[in-house]
Formats: sequence, C-alpha cells, structure tokens
Amino acid sequence: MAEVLLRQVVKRYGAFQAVHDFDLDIAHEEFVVFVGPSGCGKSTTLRMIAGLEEISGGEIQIGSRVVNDLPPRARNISMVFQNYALYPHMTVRQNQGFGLRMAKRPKEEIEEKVNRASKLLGLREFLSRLPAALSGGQRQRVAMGRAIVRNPDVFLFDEPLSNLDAKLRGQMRTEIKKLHDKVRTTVIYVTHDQVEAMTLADRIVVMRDGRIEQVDTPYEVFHAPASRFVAGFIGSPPMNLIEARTVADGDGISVSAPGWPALPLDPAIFGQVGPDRAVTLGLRPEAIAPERMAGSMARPLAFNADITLVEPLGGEALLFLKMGKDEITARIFRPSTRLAPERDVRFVVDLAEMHLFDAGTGARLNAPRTAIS
Amino acid sequence: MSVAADSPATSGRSPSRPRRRFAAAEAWFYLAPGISIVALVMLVPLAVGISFSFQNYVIFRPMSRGWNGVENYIDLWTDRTFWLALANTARWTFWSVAFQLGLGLGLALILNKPFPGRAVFQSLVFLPWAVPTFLSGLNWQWLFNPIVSPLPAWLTAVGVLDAPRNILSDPDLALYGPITAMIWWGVPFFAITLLAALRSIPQDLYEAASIDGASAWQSFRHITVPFLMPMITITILLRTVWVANSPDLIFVMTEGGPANSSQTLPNYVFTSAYKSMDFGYASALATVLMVLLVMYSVLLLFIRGRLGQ
Repeated sequence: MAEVLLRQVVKRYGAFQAVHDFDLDIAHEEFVVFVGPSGCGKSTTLRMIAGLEEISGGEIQIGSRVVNDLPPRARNISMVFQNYALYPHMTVRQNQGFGLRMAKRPKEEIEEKVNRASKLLGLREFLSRLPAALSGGQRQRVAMGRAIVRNPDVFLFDEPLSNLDAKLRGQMRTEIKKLHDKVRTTVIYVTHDQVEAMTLADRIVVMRDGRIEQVDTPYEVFHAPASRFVAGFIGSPPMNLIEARTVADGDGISVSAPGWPALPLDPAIFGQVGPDRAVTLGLRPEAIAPERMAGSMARPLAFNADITLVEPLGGEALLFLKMGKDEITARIFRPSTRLAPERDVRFVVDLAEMHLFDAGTGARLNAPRTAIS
Repeated sequence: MSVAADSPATSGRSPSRPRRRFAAAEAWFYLAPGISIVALVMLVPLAVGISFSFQNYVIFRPMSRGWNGVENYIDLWTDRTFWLALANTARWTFWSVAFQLGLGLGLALILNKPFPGRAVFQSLVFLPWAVPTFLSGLNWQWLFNPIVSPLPAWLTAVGVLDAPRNILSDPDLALYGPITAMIWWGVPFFAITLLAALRSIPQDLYEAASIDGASAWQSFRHITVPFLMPMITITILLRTVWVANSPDLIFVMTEGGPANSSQTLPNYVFTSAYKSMDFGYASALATVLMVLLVMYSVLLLFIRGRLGQ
C-alpha cells in the first residue's frame, strides 16, 4: 500500500515562496495529475515528493512513512524526467538495470526484471543499444522501463511527453494509460498540457502561483470548474469568459453583458446570487451554436450575432463571433454545411451550461453540481 | 555576369579533373606556410638531432668528428648514470602526475560544489600555474633549506625526517624535492581541466541516479568517473609527456645532484650537451627519451580506444 499524503507542504527559495500550504491525499494506485501554467509550483512539489528538493515546511508521507528527511534513494519511488536523463554511457539494458545493480540484486533477477519490462514496452530489440542510437519515443520508453524495473511504491512523471512531437505524444499518452492499467501503482504526473491531464488522470490537481485551485475528477474539473482560472485553463478551445453584471429582472435575476440579450438565471442553481453584482460569465464554446445547426438544448436562448471568422477543422469547426467588445468562440461538431463569415446570424446558447464567477475573487458562484447526469 | 555565363557548364555535375587538381593544390598552398614553419623548427632539428646520435660529436674535439654507427647507443647501454636517470625519470613522472591527478581531481570536486567564497578560492587554486617554474623551483629550494624555512622542522615533527636537514642534499631523497615542487605547480592544470569536465555532466543524471538508489560513492563511480575518463586520459597523456620532458625544476633545485642521484633523462641530456659538450651522446639520450614517450603515448591512446568501446 502506498498512499501519498501531503500536509501543509511549503517551499521557499529565500524570500520567494514557490509552494503555499499544499494539502493533498493521494490514494493507493491512484493516477493524479498536477497541471498548471509554467511556474505554478507543480514540478517543485513533485521534486519535493521525490526528495530532490528540500521541504521548507509541512510533511510528506509515502505509505504512512514520513519521508521529509529521507534521501531519494530511501523513498522507494521512481521518476521519469522531462529529458529522460538516461545514462548515455550505458546500454538500454544497463540503464534499466541500474537501480537493481546499485541495490546489489542477483544477476538473474536483474536479467529477468529487465526482460519483463522490455517486453512490456517493446524494447527487446534495442537492449544492447546506447541511448544516442534511439529515437525520442524509444528513449522515453527506456526511461519508463528503468522506472518500472525497480517496482517502486510511487511513480513520478515530470512532463515526460513535452519533448516529443504531437503525434508521438498522443501515442505515448495512450501507452502510459495502458501501462498504468497493467502495472497498478500510485502515479503522480506533472504536465502543463490540459489534454494529458484530462485523459490520464483519476484526479486532476490544478495549480496556480504555488496554490491548489481545484482537486477533482476530470469530469468535475471540466463541468464544474471551481474558479475562473480553472475554467479558462481546462478545455480547448478555452471557455468564453465575459465581464458582466447581475440585474433584477421581474421576479428573477438576469445577467447583463454588452452585446448580449438578458440571460435569466435559473433560481434552482443560482439562488444565492443577488442583483447588481459584478460577475464573470462563463460559456463553453460547445454551448453556443447557430440555430440552424444546434442540437437539443436544455435551456436554449436565441440571439443574433455576426460571424467574423470560421476555422474549419474537418470534423468540427470554430466560429468567432463579435459580441460587444468581446470575441466569442463557438464550436460546432460535424458542420452540415459550409460555413463562412456572415452578418446577423441567429444563434442559440444553452443557459443550462452557464457558469458564473465572482468578478473580484474569481470563485465559482453556483452550487457545485453533485449529481452526474 | 561572367559567373552566370560559365555556370551552366559545371553546375549539377561533379567538378572536372583539372578543377579537382586545382582544388587540392589550393589547399596545399594555404597550408604551406604552416607546414614550412613546422618543418623548419621541428622536423629539421629532429632529423639533425637524430643524425647527431650516430656521430662522434664532441665540441672540444672537432677533429675527431664523424659517423660512428651505434657507438653512442652502446655506450649508453653500459652507462650506469643513464639507467639511473631512466629510473629517476619514471619515478619523477609517476609521482608528479599521480599526485597532480589525485589532488587536482579532489580540488575540482570541491570547487564543483557551491560554497561561500568559491570564486576567491578558485582563483587562488589556479595561481601556482601562473608562477614561472624557475621561480617556484627557487622558492621550494629555500623552503627545503632548514636554515631559512620551518618546513624541514615540521617534516621532522610529523616523523617524515629523522632530523631537520635539507632533503635536497640527501642522495636518497633529493629527487622528492623537485617532485614536491612539480606537484604544487601542476595541480592547477588538472583542477582546471577536470572542473571543466565536471561542469559538463548533466545534473539530472545525478538526480536520476539518486532516485535509482545510488549512494554518493556509487554516483561517483558510475557517472562521474565514466564522464571524466576521456578528459583524465588525455590530461594524463599531456602531463606525462610534459613532466617527463621538463628539466627546469630539477636543474634549479638540485642540478641533478648530489652525485647524479636526482638526474633524469632531460637533465642528463642537458649536462651531457652543455657540460661535457658531447652532442653525439646527448642526442642519443634524447632520441631514446623521445622513442619511449612516443611508445607510451601510442599505448595510452590504444588503451583509451579500447575503453571507449
């Protein structure tokens, strides 16, 4: 059993605080992804778990053992580095067996474990090669093989795919997912790529400026982002974020934004939001469509807008609309006709897909959705 | 426009024969000044020197000059001083280079870790290299003198010497005086080159190794040493040749004495040529030294090639 617990973990570099009171419980065999823009402290946190960075405050436990003062080699972890960090003077076989050789394991055991990992990763023909004679994807596999061979309690991945080209990155992503299904271990994975985070994670930890913004399943992070930052970071193309105000509108409350019709709030969801409040309105591109192509929507509201630009992507298309001062993105799946810039087009927006954030703090205003329908 | 006019004839095809010959001639033309200087100051004196070794050539006896076959080499074979000088050269070179390597590597490892005042310390370490060997020889000569220096008394206090006397006048120990000076003077060279090599080792390899469970010693053994090995081999090679060939410290400190006890081959060459004025014999000694050093270099490069695979 190897759960990883972080309690009030802090990292300071002199006067600069890189990580603030980081609290997280990672379950045994869970796949957790730290995601955030560069400089958000995700790699620093991972390196503190690995023991490569000192912990300035708080406590880290791996498998119910406090590891704060243990050197990396005593933590029974393995790590895959961004640039692989393979030993260039050792063959693929020696690279993978290095940890076991350092632990003075018998030769037959090393041989057997290296062979098993190599078979799993399709590296058997390359065992006698030096890393310099391998492609990027193969080096990546060797780095993973080296991590697996040691049979660690926890796998740490530090942006492992960011040096690969887009196609290979997609392939390796799938392989890592399959690998985790075969080799059940606790995994902590750091990336700045929200697609990797969404596809790989059991739970995503979104970080910004050394703090946790949200910890949740990919579904919840996408459908109920805890803050304006998370809403803008997760999802591609990003959510449309529009500065707006709430206004009293007859019995209920509506959101008013320049260029938009009044958007009435559903009191069942936004009951606690009062009138005359500065808010940020969040609408995913998927929630907006030209009326003639819109599928069924839970709470449709029609409005007119100009299409200024169309980006056809084959199976889908992105439309850019001018609404007041903002440019809004709409995403159409399987566009049935050719789309072109056009004036005064009839659109619908699904108000059931509306998010509201406090304009000042960025915090989510509607109650988090608990039931997944 | 003349370029455009004749380009269709040659473009897209390999250059014609005269053209290629011209290209070769052009390269030799540019190399000519360098080659002639090397020939003038190295190859010609080398050939002349080797030819001297097969001659009877003593400045005092100009009338008896002439070819004498391998007579100089036969004399050399039976010359006890030659064998002593050869053994001393080996001892001098081995101890000097071994300690320079060991201390230089130690210094490089220390300087590779950050600590307060590192920049100052680093420039201090490299200072001896800037001191002329001649001056450092004089300094060490004084340091070994019990009348002006406390060093012999200290060596006695720690039990290295039985009494505070001058080791430079002791036939059994005289050679270790210049060796000490040579070590002091040559450590910076190893420290500089090895520090540069250490800085080129990617840090994440050490991180990967520490996660893979390697202890500090294992990281050193399996990462640092393999990375440093090419640099160590080439530095040892260079230093061995330089140290083996350098007579100045010994000449300044002991003049090969007392009674030839600290004579090395380069010194013996020097004394034969400019004290006995026997250029033939000196040339034979120098030729032997050169052949030995060439054999040594080839051997070391061969070993390095084998290790590299």
